[in-house]
Amino acid sequence: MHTTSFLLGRMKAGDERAVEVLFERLIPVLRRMARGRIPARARSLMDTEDLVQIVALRTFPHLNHFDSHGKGCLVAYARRIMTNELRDEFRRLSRTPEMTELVDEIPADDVDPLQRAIESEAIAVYRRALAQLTQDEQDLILLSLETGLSHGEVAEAMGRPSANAARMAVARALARLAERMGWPEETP
Amino acid sequence: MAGGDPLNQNRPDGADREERLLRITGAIADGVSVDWEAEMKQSPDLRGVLQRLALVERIRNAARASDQG
Repeated sequence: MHTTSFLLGRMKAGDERAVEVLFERLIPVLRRMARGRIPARARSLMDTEDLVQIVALRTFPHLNHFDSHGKGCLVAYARRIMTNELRDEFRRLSRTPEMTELVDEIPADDVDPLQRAIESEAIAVYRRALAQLTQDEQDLILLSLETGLSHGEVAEAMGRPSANAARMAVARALARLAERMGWPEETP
Repeated sequence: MAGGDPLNQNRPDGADREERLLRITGAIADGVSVDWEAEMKQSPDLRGVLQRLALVERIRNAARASDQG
């Protein structure tokens, strides 16, 4: 299996099969991301598959300009488009002014304002650290942790030879993420 | 533990450290709950990185809760 970066390169070189493979890989990931995200009031107008199609249609025209070696990654890019689409949907429904993205806040049982502020900062640290990882590591973490794909699904999406290989790659990426976080301060 | 590869600190116990860290990050990847207090007692040298990973676990759990919501 080829990496996403390789396929993006092939696509830019005019390989139409690479576009098909990217599409086949991204759609299941988008379905997993979209599940349960549509606002209840909008479900009569839009279902998960509609959202997946919208995000795919908005993502793919930009792939030619996508920097496969930059800090961003395809999954993160598609996720931003999905978040924007959902935000627009909320606005269309007019009652809720803005959607809160998946992990911008951690649901807590009994949170005081100080604790909430600390966690908010911690999540910002997590996001900054994530952005410092390689594209491959970012994809692995987003797909496994935030999107909830199984190791087998991650292997398929990321071109890893087996579920176990994907699991080990995620574990290693998490170790690197923790190193980059630099939070909280080390205690001697 | 600033800088460097967390999995290879060029120390004699580097392999053991790597093994302990990957066991914990593997558990997070598997969606298995980690007993952080016990892990910190067992591996005081990993305290800082374990605190960060505990946060990562909470983010994973929040994402799962959001999936089910």
